[in-house]
Formats: sequence, structure tokens, C-alpha cells
Amino acid sequence: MSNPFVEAGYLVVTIVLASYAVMVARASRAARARAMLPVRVAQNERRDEGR
Amino acid sequence: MKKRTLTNSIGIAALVLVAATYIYGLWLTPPDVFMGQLVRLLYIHPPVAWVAYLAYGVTSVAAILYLWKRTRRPEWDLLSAASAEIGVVFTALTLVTGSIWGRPTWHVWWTWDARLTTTALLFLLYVGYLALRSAIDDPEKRAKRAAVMALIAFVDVPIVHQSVVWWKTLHQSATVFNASLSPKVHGEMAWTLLLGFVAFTLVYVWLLINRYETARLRQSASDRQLDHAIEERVSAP
Repeated sequence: MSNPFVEAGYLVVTIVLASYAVMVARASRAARARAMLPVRVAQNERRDEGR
Repeated sequence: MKKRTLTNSIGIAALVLVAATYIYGLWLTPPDVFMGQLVRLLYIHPPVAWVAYLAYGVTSVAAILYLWKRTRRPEWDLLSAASAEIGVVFTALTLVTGSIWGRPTWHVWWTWDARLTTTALLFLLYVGYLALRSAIDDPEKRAKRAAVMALIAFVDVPIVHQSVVWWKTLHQSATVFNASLSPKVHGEMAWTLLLGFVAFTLVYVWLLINRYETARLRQSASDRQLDHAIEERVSAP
């Protein structure tokens, strides 16, 4: 198969969706890490108190 | 943790199915008698358009659930916004892939055809929805106004779908979701198209789960910050 229009169509869909998916995944990971912050702080405080 | 595993599994399944759609769509299916190689765009253009419809459908259902007092919860507003954002991305892809298909078929990148015009309007309506959301600071006011806007914008979805029936258009009539519900493609072409529908729907589901989760976590983080600030002010001498 060699048709520049077909290739362009698939390429656009791939680039746009891949970029958007990476952006969404990064934002999701960052939000989850931020949500875990108070838990991590509490864990560290408990560990420090135990020392 | 289990929820995360499920989300990751959906993501992997979506990736595998999109790759399979590409392999079948680009190499394993035969060219069409009339459209030639251009038929290969059919395996991605209708599926991305379907996902846009689906996304706006979810946006509207969540908007109704927010507006109805019995079911009103801020989560519906977050879901509505997450789905609308994904819908805008897929509508943009629908317009671009349609334009790429139109150039060799109709010899123009763009024409003010009913299907194209109503789809462009749909895109602008939901960009407007997202703009409205970012323009209002008060969460409750924003959620209510955005929900109303989502329902107004959704009126265009059936118009887009029926545009090829109601008006004489350059755009071909519906390939799958037509009035008689008899698909105009058969054999491995039909299976590849179906594969495309499933693959891009899974991409949508994965994006929606992640987008909604992010919005929910951000919301609870900002609520926590607010509680903390109030607590500090109250306990200050």
C-alpha cells in the first residue's frame, strides 16, 4: 500500500492520539503522586518518631 | 490498586487493537473497487467520529445527572468535562481525516457541505463549552452553566448524523449506522471497520478513566488545601 493521503491520515491520528495519551498519563501519574503526599508525610513522621 | 490494574489492562488492549486495526487497514484488506486505496481511511475516520458522538453522549448524560437535584454530585460535572475534552480531540481528528479523504475524492480540502459544516460547528460548540468552564471560578456556578451548555451543544449531534439524509451532500451516507441498519461494507472490510470501532472506543474508555481520575484527585487536593487554610486561620491567635 502506498498512498500519501492514506499515510497522512493514519499518521495524524497516531501522532495526535499518542501525544494526548502521553499527556493524560503524565497528568494522571502526577495527580496520584500528589494525592499520596500526605500519606507519605505521615509515614515519614511515624518513622521519625520511632527512631 | 485493582482499579489501576484494570485501567492498565484497558490501555494495553486498546493499544493492541489499534495496532491490529492499522495492520489490517493498511496492509491486509484489499483496495476498494471504487475508492481504491483511499478506502483504508474508512477504517479510522468513522471510528473516530463515533467516539466523538459517544464522548458527547457521556458528557450529556453526566450533565443531566448533575442538573437533576436527586443525583447531583460534583463527580458528574468532572466526568462531563473529562468526556467533552476527549470529544473535542476526536472531533478534530474527524475533521482532519475527513479533509484528507476529501482532497483526492472531491478535489478540495474543505467545502461548506452540510456534514462538514455541522461537524465543524460541533467542534466549536464543545471548544466553547471548555472555554466556558475555564472562565468561571465558582465550582457550583461553573458546573451548572457548563451542564446547560453541554445539553445545548448536544443538539448538534443528531443534526450531524442526519445531515446526509436531510440535505443533499457531497459526503456519502452513513456506512454502518444508517436508517435500515444494514452496513454497506462486507467481509474482511467490515471486520476491520468493526475492529476500528472497538479499538478507538477502548482508547476513549482509557482516556476517560485517566482524565476523570486526574480531575477528581485535583479536586480533592484543592479541597484539602482549602480545609487546611481554614484550619490555620481558625487556630491563629
